[in-house]
Amino acid sequence: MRELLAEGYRRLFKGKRFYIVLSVIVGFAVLVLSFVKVFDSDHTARADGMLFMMTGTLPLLISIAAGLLIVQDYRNNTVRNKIIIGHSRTNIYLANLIVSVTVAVIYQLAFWLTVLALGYILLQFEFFPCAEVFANMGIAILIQLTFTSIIVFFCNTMKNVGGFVISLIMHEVVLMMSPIMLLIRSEKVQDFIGNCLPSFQVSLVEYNYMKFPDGLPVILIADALIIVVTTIGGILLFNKSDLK
Amino acid sequence: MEYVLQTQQLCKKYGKFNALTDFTINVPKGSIYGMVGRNGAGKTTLIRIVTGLNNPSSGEFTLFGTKNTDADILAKRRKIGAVVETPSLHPEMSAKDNLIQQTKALGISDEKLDEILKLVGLGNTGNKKAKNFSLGMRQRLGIAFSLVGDPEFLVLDEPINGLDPQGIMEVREMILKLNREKGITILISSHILDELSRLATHYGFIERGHVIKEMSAEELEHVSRRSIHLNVNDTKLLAEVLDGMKAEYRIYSPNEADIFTPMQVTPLVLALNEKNCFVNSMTESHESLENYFMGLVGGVRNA
Repeated sequence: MRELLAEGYRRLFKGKRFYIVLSVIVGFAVLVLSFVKVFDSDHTARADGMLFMMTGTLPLLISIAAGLLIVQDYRNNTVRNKIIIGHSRTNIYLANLIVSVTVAVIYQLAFWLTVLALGYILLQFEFFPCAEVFANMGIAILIQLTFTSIIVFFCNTMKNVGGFVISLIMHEVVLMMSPIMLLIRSEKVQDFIGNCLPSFQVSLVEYNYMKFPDGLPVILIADALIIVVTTIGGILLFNKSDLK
Repeated sequence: MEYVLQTQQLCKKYGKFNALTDFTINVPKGSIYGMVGRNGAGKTTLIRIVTGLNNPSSGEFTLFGTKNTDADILAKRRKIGAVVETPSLHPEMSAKDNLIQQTKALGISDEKLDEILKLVGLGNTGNKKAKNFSLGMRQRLGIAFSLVGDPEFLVLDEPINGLDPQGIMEVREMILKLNREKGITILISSHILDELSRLATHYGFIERGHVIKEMSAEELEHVSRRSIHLNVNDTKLLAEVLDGMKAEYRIYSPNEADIFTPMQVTPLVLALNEKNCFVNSMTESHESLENYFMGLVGGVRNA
């Protein structure tokens, strides 16, 4: 496993894509905070909410960096080099997941550090630091990890650009289908589904970051289940599949 | 005899298509084992199964004495190097960077890489990215990849594809050197049977997912017959004459044929002359690997 991680990290950090996406994330944070500072003539805007403004966009950026890294390993057939020398497919899948999780965590932390540093200088914070915001930051990280495990599942299972495209648009597709929720009459069921699906969880932390989420246990269990099911399912499918 | 690879009734199905059926092959330690077969015969499928890229549908194989179902098989695969069809490279990296990736995956140092690159003739590629390499250079880099882990068993699927004549010669020399000096067992498949015949110490003839015959190069030498190779104006007329003489022959084209039955040349030429069949050239030769294979699979007309 250590060897696979060394190989994966070298491939990740040697490529330009990781750094381009990272600079987009940091640049976006700088740009938004600067804009708010310039156009907020009343000086009432605070940076708390901005800690969560990329929660829904990060999965797309993680896809571009981590998802493509996996898909390219299949497109170039370089995954063969690892299987031929005796690395188990389970370890290859887990190494891909760990490298992708690293990407997700680095991107999320880079964004937060930028917002915290620049937000403190330009806008100040109203609530941060407080337990509620930290709890929502924890959930935001969990959402990213859940999306990452789904991205790894699609890219590793489909092994082509199709898998990458699905992981790229999955969050938007789920949001597009959200009107279906209106057909459900029970508010409890609506809330339950909203707490279970990471795409809806994004809205919970984006707009209610100043309070503890009501359905916290459901969110934690649902995300943990998605991570476990996609990982075990992905490993089983990968072990069964024939490679070119 | 000690074997590096043995398969027992290995089967592989892709949907309804049987790529391998009761496939049994034995690769002796220290040999250069040439797999001879047409396109789709099952050579690459076997290589994919042995290297772990594909799972067998049924049957089993042993690698260095370990069954494919044993957990220890992964450790045995550490002793393998392989090039399967097209070389697997990182296009955005230089040749050396590509090999460093493999040292990372193997958990070994990269001190031998310059030596390997020199061995495959890529010592002076510098920072040139693999995506800008010619087909031959990619092929060499693929072979370099397979050598990074100091393998005891090298699996090469069409290793001379895309190489120029000089490249073919260099790869041949390299394969022979690896086999003779380092004692590496080599399993090689190639469509270029003439080239294979210059390398292989053992052969496995494969047709429609079966191994139809296994033999050593010495055995092949022993069983392959001497023949008279003829170039005539019309092999139909030649066939009529040879049928009359009850000779064994094989026709390759409207002008080319081999006669395997020993016979005097003068009566043959006179008989052909009577039928208005004119001999353009005539040479005595030893049956080639290609001819032996074609005779074995019945790919051409055989009296």
